[in-house]
Amino acid sequence: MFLSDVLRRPVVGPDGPLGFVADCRVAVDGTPGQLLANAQLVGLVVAPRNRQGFLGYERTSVSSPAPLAQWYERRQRGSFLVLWEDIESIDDVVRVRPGYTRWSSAL
Amino acid sequence: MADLPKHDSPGQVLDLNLHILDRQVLDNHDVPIGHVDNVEVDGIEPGRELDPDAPPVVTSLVLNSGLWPRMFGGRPPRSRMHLVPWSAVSAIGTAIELGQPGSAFDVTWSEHWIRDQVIARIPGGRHVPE
Amino acid sequence: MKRYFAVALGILTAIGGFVDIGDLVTNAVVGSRFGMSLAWAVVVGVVGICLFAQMSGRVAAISGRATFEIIRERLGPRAGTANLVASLLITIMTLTAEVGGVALALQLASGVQPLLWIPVAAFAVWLVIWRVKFSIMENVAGVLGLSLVVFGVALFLLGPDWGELKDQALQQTSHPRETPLTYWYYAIALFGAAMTPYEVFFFSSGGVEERWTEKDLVTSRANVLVGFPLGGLLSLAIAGCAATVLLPRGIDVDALSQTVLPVAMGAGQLGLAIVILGVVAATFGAALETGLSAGYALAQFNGWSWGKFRRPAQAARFHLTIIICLVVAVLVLLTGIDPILVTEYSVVFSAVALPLTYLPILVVANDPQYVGEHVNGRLLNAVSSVYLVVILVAAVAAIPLMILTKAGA
Repeated sequence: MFLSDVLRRPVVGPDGPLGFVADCRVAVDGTPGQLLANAQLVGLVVAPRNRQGFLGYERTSVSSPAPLAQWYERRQRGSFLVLWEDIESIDDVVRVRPGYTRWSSAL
Repeated sequence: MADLPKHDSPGQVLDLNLHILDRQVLDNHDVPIGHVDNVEVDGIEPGRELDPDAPPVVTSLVLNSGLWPRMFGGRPPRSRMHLVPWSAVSAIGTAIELGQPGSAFDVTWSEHWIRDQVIARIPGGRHVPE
Repeated sequence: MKRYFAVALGILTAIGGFVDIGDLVTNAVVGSRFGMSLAWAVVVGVVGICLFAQMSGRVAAISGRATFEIIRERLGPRAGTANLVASLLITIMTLTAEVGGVALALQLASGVQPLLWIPVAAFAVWLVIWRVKFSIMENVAGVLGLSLVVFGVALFLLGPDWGELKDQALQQTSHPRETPLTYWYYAIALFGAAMTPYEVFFFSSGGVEERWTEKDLVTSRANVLVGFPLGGLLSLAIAGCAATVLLPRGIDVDALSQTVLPVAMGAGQLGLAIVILGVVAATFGAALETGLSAGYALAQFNGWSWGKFRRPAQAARFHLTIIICLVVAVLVLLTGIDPILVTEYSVVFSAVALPLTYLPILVVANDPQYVGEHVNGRLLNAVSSVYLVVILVAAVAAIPLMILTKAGA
């Protein structure tokens, strides 16, 4: 499966739509391979609206120049991280298991 | 939403869209060889119930496979993608660094073709500018 | 000692390299039609290019990433491709204008038809890009371009009414013959001529070519903050010459000969010879920069190997791009199109394309992953944010004004 097959897909929770897949979070850790360790999926970042491009302001701590940073932060308010173990299936829609946890999407 | 709990994962945490897509890829001599257009992830079967204990891993980066699908959706068949295995990646920063020379990857074929057919045939093409 | 020499040389080449065909033509046109009343637009443009070049130079020095790699990474495929297409078109247009400018200047010197000079000039540009080391190329063109200082000398020798020029600059009233719309149209043209996107592609890629590191930040900042304003002063001297000689006589600038006419009147035959040398050097230098910039833009966007520090065979697609762009420029010029006209359009389109180039650089200059501790300070961010608005307004207004004024007619 490719990243492009997952990005921007709608995400559905037990009680209805949650938003859209904005990003896939991975962690590079564990058994060191030849050069860099495996990149394991941590979870999916879900955003309430399907928008592209925040010039890299999303989820990072960069907050200047202030007018730009605030504008982009407002546009992506309400996004959260769903961990892999809370994801039930991935197809044309991503289904999230009942009792899932919303984690902060900040990096 | 600032009150959501923060999840900490060990190691370097990366968001694929944010940190990997559209980044410059350099070979082991810092020569640019392409940009990342897509990422292949292993361990997800569409529609099947997923195993919470077996998270997928990144298997390959897809380089320069055309801007058209990036702009308008869809993707070319896997056989027409230029894949770089994740095991070849040595570091990820403002660029993605590989541990092997660019000639090891088929994404550089057009560079080599133009070099052999055009540039190297023009006098001085193989010399350092003075 | 070596360090001071490097700083001085850098400043000199920044002055000589600042003025290109866009500045030569636009400033002379404006001076002959509006006097010094648009001097403020040059100042606004020079401050803008200082901000922009300083940020992109800092990003290149510390992260090693040149401007178009950043554009691709931050804007993504859609907006990034739109920017690439626009920037390439404008850069090729500017390249066409510069090669045409070299031919026109050589015609002034030799009397030989520019049509014959065009292929010669383009071939010489290619040969220098193909074979000459980056630092030598930049320094020779920049230092020879300094002979344009003769515009300033000529202005003094012409003995203008300084009070009158000052009043024009301060009152900002447009000439009775002109409408407010043409006034603002030329304000944007001057802004675009000073803030051409290719200058930033060239400056940041040049930083990578010359392997800048954190240690070179002081040098690069001095080049920008001293060299560019002095280059801007040169632009104002060109406008001042036109305002003194051409405006009272009602002469409109539609050829390079009118741009240099005031120098011939103020500084005689010798002045004329020097100014022609300066125009050849400035346009030739700018042709090198625009040709390389077209290659930089396309190669960096696609992640191809690029740079003059590599052998051409190790940056094959980059060199092929430059060759194709030069061929296109020659073919366009051989249709007999007036290079001055191409120049006038290219500076206005430059203003249109600026926002999508400026925005990602402004963002990345604030990102510690790219610039470490050298992120923008508060004051710089405040000024840069104001400039973002200025650039947006100019970009939005440019095309409507072009249509309404029939391109400033």
